[in-house]
Amino acid sequence: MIVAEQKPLEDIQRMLKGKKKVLTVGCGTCVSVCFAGGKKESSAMAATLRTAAAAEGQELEVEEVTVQRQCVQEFVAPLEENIGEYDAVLSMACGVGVQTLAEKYMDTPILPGLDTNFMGQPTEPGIWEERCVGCGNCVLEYTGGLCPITRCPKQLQNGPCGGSEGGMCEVDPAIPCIWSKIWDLLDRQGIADTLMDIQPAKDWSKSRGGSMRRVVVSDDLRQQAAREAGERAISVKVAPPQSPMKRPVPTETSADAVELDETWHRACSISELAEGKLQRVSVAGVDVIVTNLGDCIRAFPPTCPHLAEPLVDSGLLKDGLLTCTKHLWQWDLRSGEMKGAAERPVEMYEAKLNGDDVMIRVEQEITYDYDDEDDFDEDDFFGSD
Amino acid sequence: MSASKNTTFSIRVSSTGDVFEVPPNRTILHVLFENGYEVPLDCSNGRCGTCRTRYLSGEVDHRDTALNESERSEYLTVCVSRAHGGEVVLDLPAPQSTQPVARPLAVVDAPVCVACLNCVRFCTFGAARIDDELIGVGGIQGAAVIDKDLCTGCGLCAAACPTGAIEMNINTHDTVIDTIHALNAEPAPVERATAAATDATEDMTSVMLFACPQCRETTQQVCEEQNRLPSQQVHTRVVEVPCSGRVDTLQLMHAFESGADAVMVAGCQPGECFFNTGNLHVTERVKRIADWLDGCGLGRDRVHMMHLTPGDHENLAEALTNLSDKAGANGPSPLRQASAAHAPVLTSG
Repeated sequence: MIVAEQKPLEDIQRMLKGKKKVLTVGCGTCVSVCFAGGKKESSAMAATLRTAAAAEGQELEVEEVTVQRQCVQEFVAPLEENIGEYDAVLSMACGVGVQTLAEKYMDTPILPGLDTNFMGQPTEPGIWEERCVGCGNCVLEYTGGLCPITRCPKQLQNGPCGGSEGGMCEVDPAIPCIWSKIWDLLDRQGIADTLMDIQPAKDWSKSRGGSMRRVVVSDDLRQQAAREAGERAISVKVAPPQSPMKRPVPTETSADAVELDETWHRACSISELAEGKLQRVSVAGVDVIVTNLGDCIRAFPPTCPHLAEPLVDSGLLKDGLLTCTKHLWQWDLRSGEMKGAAERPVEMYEAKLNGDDVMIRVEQEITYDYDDEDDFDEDDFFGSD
Repeated sequence: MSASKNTTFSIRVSSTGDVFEVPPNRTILHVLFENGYEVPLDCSNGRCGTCRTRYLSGEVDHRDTALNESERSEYLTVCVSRAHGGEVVLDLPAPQSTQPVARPLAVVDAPVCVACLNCVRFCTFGAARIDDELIGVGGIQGAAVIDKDLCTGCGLCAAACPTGAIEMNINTHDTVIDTIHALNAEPAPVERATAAATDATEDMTSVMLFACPQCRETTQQVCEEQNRLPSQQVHTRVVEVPCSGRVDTLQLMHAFESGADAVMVAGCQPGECFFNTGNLHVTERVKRIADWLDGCGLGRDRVHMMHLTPGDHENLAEALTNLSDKAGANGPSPLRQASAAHAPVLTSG
């Protein structure tokens, strides 16, 4: 896991000097675990920056968001919509996350909120230690699984130096001499003599120090084709981050501020609603299909307005276009516009997001009138069973 | 605590005649709450005695450390005490409804969980574990889950969770933050403002105090008394938390952001925490916040961790005076002034 720690506050304040509106972007993976840049720590950083600015009488608006993994372009893509509003972004991710944002959002200054330290492990609660330097040519095979490149300050590969004392390191007496540990471990397994074998010279060409390294997994043809076409390989759309971008300013009636009237009902949590899926829910005793189009929520009756086909089975949703596969009636769910063979609009319930809750307004059940025989024409039976 | 094995027994509520079975893996408390009976709770693990309930008959296996021998002849703690078979008759009023009553619990939002194991390490009741069947952050298999039957609702895991995946079912993260903001937005009572010197609310030091259950009564009494004294230019607002270990850096920072001049966390003495280690965790967080306050230019003297012995009014009053003096010496928080500019103006005199 990548281990990082927050930069000193004064460094961050210096970076943000003169900025009026800042977005902190947390990362929900490695740096969450080491209490550096997860949702809670980046929110606390935002609160601290607001407090510091107010204490100094400066105007600074700080908003917060956390993405699943900041090192992946797809996960930071949903920020595109709002990122232009900010004078700067404080990335609370490792250096990889910072660069993912910097390369994607070139018009906004992306600043690092963390110092990225190393790849390591928690050795006890609250303590992380370095275990791998990513040298590109692993020697753990010969050293009992303990890395002398990382854990010996002199990076010795042929046994301990003369300064190791009582199993502890000469350079830093607080850490064990890793060669001492390697010996003990191999001895325990009865194979300490393998240390006498002559090993081939380590290939340092794969390590840091040359140009930027790259790993290519070439067995995916789609990737190859995309690369040849000069495009980014397979792009996957992901749901926007769950954290709210803006914290509502609490007022005395903050508890009621988001209250919706009794015609609004909670359908489910947004986390249960995968993007682009038609989800059937029961809201206030009424069957409703709800779907998350990524930028909006839509809710509508469960049957096709044409011949009452259950849309959960017959409906196909792609890029906001709903198609009833029975007779190719289509609707653009964002605008409500009829498309394809549709002869009737799809009626909608009002739907919106309240925090993480998907809320649907059901005053009364919407039903279609299927009795009108004039609606039937020959096309309707084309290809049907 | 008795080491005897759990067996199934039944309880009968004298007022309603309801009879419920308590299986070995559940407690009287679980069964009562499930059936609409609510009893006051603090620790849910046999240390505080808050849930003491009178019983009329039955051979009770007392497993708490809260009640003394004479109390045990009349009361039992529903959270841990049991019986070996047979029936225990409880003297409880009839519930308002038979709908299950929610008790404080931690819950996990799996899709945000990074399976960092902090909750597993912080929970001293073994309630948190990683379930391989659940899907965590980034669609990766394995996320935390909290065993309802073992959870005491202390919130240590929620405070330790770095991703916000763990929430308390009743006092959610947002509720606590909103409470902090709402309390700090309230002006000091009018009679105090008029009784004190002019521009009273301006000069008065505003302290926010986070109090754990053991410290609750003492802090309330001391704060009420201090808040009444016109000579004391201090107004203290108390935020009750299930354990001082529930207080995280974010809550502390929001207390300052919403205008508190000073913040105190009142937790138990080391070794006295109902949940074992909560008071120790928050002590470290308070140190972190002190560093941040220095960085903010507010000064580290504005935050204080108080290890309080219940009933020790004197030391708490002294610590509060110390804290508000130090905070007062640094002047009122610029954030309070900023928020006061928008707050309704209180006319004094």
